[in-house]
Amino acid sequence: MIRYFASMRFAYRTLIVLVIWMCLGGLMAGGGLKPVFKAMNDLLVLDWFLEVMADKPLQAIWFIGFCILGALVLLSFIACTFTTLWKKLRQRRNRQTALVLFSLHLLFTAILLLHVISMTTGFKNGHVRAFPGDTLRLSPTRTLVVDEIRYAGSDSLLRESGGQSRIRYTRANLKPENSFARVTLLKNGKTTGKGTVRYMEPYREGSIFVCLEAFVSGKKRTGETGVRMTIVKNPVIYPFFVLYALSVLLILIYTCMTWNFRKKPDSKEI
Amino acid sequence: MLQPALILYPALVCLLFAAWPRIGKNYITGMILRGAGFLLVSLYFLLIIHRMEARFIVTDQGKMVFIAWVIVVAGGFQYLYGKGTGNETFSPLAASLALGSGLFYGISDPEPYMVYERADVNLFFFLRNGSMGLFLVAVSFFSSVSWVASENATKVLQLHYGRNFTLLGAAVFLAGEVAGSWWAFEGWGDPWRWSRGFLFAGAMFLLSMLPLHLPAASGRTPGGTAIRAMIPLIIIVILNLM
Repeated sequence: MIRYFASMRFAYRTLIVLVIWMCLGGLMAGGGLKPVFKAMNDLLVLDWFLEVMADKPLQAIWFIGFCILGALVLLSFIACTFTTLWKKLRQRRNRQTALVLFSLHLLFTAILLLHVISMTTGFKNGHVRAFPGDTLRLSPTRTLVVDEIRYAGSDSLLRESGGQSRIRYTRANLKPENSFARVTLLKNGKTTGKGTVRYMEPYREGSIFVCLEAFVSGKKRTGETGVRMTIVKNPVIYPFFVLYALSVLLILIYTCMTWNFRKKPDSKEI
Repeated sequence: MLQPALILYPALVCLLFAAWPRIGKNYITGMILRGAGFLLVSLYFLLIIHRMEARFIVTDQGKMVFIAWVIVVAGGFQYLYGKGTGNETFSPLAASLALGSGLFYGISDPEPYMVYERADVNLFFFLRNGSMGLFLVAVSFFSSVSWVASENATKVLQLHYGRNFTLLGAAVFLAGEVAGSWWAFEGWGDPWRWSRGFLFAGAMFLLSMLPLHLPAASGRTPGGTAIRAMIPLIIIVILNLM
């Protein structure tokens, strides 16, 4: 059984099904189910799943399928790494290449596990509208207070809704030096940090990130400028990026090591 | 300054690469022209680094010109070390077509949005489109296995080079995604988003892994292997244009 999970055939088939599943998800997310998928970005995935599973059956089925396929890819990684690649590593021939390939698969296994951890730990409050003086409850122990919002940009930007913020703000129309929010983070009612958050310049405190996505106008509170923010705690974010960077490096090293033929050409090798 | 240069430099490099197979017999002339080719490529590379920002290649036209440039450079180096793979004409041909499209439309100059000042955003767009160029070079090798090469040894060599460029493309693509993830993280607090773009990006990376994980089925011909390896890469390029 383990030999089957470690085989190229299993890896190849699982990858194909996962690709089809992701493209299906992509089509759903870009089509009629866009608002439903958007809701996934507002919460920690585990919280989202527990909250909306019953209300959105189609999306829940898609997500369950995605998790199952992800688990199969992980199984394939682990089985292949500790059987086939481990055997290659113990052979005397091409030991350095085998070591790089082994490490690469080990890294991707760790990355997949980090994805699972980041979906289930920490907290997330996405696309929250806040105005000066607002207090946002982030978790049972954590709160964020918006002390002050300053906005020196164009009024027309406040009225725009939807669309991509990346094709909205220029230095001329936002005036980023004078457009920002001051926030205070509290833990059990005690201040743990104060800071300024600007567009694309988050405020960080440990693994908590406060990101300012856009400036908005208060519909009910005319004349007041607010912000749209995402506040997230992701304890594995730095290892996540380090492992991804390492995997890129290892792929490049592996490519260089195997660029030329050193053995008799084998038609099975690609 | 930038727009004519975007067209002229790669066009000149294309001409040089196209001329190489004919002038290769004369050693000195070949060396001079190769040196000139490298000089032009280096100049163009410097131009890209210093003058070009991601905002130029987010447009379809800019994207095509940049992908063409990558094909020219990657294909050019491959020609130098190509060991007679018979694949030399692809780069000038593909790049000329792409550049021709760029010439036809012209390159627009979008608004200087703030995000395009960021290194991670620039890296994301350049590396992603750069990887498309590398995938297309890989496709050229795989396609020549099926339709150009006649000897089995040549076919196996072509498959190997196709695999090399697929690996290189996958590394460049992944590096771009890491840069893009950092951008998303600082912008919206999450390195991954449940959206069409991110799901397609994930699918594209997995697709690039498919040619590298082809099961070794007995009795399969190099041509069949090449087609199986080529299809995912073509899908990646199509998804990138969507």
